[in-house]
Amino acid sequence: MALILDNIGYTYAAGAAFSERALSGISLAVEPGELVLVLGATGSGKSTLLRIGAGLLVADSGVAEIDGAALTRASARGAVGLVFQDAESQLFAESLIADVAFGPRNLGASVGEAAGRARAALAAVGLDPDVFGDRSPFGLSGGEARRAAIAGVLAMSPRYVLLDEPTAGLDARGRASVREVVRATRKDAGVVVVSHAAEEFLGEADRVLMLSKGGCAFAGTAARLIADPAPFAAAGLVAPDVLRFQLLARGRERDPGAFTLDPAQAAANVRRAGGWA
Amino acid sequence: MSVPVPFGQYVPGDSPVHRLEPRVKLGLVAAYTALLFTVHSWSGFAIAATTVIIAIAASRVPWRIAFRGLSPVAFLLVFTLAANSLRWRPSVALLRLGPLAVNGPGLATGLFFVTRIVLLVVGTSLLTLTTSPVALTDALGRLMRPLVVVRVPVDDIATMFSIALRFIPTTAEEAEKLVVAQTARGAVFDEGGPIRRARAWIPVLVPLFVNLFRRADALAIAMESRCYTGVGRTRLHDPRMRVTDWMTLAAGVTVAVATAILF
Amino acid sequence: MVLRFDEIAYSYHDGGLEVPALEGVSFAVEPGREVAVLGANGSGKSTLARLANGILLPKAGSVTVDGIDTRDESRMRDVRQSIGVVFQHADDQIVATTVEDDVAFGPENLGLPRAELRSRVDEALAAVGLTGLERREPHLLSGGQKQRLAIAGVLAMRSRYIVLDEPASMLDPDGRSDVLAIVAALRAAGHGILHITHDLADVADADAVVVLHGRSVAFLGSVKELFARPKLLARCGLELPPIARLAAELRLLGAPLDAGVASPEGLVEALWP
Repeated sequence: MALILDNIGYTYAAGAAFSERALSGISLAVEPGELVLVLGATGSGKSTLLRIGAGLLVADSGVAEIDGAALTRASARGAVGLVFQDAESQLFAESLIADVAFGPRNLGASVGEAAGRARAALAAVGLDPDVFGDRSPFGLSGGEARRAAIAGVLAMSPRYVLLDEPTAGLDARGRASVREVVRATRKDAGVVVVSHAAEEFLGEADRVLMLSKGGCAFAGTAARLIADPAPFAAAGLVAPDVLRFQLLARGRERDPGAFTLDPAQAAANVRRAGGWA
Repeated sequence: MSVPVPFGQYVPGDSPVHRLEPRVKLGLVAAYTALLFTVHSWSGFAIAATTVIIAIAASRVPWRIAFRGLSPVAFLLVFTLAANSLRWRPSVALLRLGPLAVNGPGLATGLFFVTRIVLLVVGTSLLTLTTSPVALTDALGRLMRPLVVVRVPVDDIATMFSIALRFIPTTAEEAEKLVVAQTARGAVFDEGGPIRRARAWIPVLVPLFVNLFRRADALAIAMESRCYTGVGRTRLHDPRMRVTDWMTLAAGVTVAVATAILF
Repeated sequence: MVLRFDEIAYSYHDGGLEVPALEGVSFAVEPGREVAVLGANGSGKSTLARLANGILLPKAGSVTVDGIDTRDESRMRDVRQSIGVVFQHADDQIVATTVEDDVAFGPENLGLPRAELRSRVDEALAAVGLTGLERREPHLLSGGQKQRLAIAGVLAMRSRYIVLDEPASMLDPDGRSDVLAIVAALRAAGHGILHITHDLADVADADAVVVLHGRSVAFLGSVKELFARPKLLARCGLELPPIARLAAELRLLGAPLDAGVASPEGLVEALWP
């Protein structure tokens, strides 16, 4: 069981005057229970990759498969959930229950069954259905609305969930609550998170794919990227500050040993490596 | 993702026709349209056609594009010609096709009307081909200026037009995003009867409008913060009529009036 | 010369109910200084931006701009001219169909002559690095460019004080660092900056910080003092950036570090000069 994109290429408006090569030679695989982080600057092709992964765009070249079958709009329907950037902007129904039930209804669930799945999905994102179920989606806080939109995707019980910048624009509490939802989601589903901020998910990702102008700048385990953050600079991204500090410390001949994202651990390592003048 | 939103049919360029003050172009199109409906002879049309051909050549808009406006009216052209020229079992005819026949004078009338429509469409579309929608609405706003005297809020209307134009591409992008987002939630837009299809758009239109209203609110506050009151505004661009603009306008109107009188 | 909030209170009407949004808030912004207002969502931060230029009027206390009370309707234009506001969503404050027309929008409203409009537009676009994009349509700009355009619109008004309401929260790292660099340059050029945000990483260089929590001021002091109070931050729904947490850990281990140093380069310079 896996969602596999292999050697994918994509060109916008192929053949037209303004055609634009968005992706070339990109591979990504995720299995249920895994979290893959896709990093890249704006315009690096992250959003295009997500649309291909959700079966909404068809790659020009390469192979896209889901659980052994070809990935198409039909095979992705219900099996791959896509949470867009600013997902809360797609909320539309008169109540949260009705909104979250929209996906299951489209997939053919009965009214009762869809409502049941909506309640479960709201609970899964930490919004008590008894409290929030009948509320309008337009009076929620930023973090609540974002989670409600994610619930709308989870209610379809997708085996794979793709999220585009799920924490962007939220305050500390909102970000923490969304990270919690991602953590819970990956228990059953395969999760792909796209972000331009590495700090947010690097610590819990299994693997990382780094895009640079549509090409692959790094593909490997998160542990490998933390151990050697050089690809960040190569892809025009800034490595998390804590990693940059350890790199700079190494430059000052205070080798902290194996790099870590944990500030406390990093501080202890630097002291062990000789401390300060 | 930056998918260009096709907007209007403006062909950017720097020809004498493009540079002509939009108010002059509006005036010339008005004179030209009036002319087409006053002339009653082929010679009048010949003069109109010559003017349009010279204008297209001067605009450097590709010929194919200059005539593209005709394709949506192709059916109208065929229908006009057929309705005027075809007769059922007439006694005299130019050409017989079974019981149907082509009537000579009818054919002439049909061709006359068809020519009028072709000249009208090609001539007026040259205006939108060589003038950006922004410049065009701006020109309309300026032509409305005298209405200030009868207390029409001309400045407010001009600002409103400008804001509408400003937000058309933004709203189109947003609508596209919503369609894709709801598609990802299993929505289907192209199945079922008309009622089901219309209902399918609710999940796109509701958030689109909610967002538009929220945005209108925010925009009003932002405009107020920037001292907008709707009165006493000056403009960064206040295109003056240049000598060439006046000359072109005068020449165009003269030709139109003379043709109308003589033919 | 100062922008002063003096014991202000504000409440919204919501279905007949008075919902308090701010209570007893006092602080001042002087030209050439940056005051950061921090707070989680719902702490009343954005209300503050609208109170600054008289879009909202305080229910109690007063907001004064260089001595002019925002409730003085006869001076409304002076207030709005002295205080430029840059909102979170730049898209919602761009009015015109081209970059230069948008920058000109404010000065046009002041009824300035065309030559003056031209020079103000060119100057403002140069200050935010958008020279050369005068005729560009706003929807073709990147997020960071749109926010810089919004700032240019305020600069063209020659506002002495600039209020920024979460100017970087929707931007990618590049757009964000561009905008923060412009904010720093504006302060250096003598503008008084009121920078509203929920992200501590945005305001490491601010001269003073106001933390709003539960409608009132929970902290007023320097960034340095604030970074040394992790419990207060947690209570107010704010998060120390990881690099500031690292600095705090280093201090606990005895490193000779000033609180407030919050960049990898700054730490390395302080530890190994």
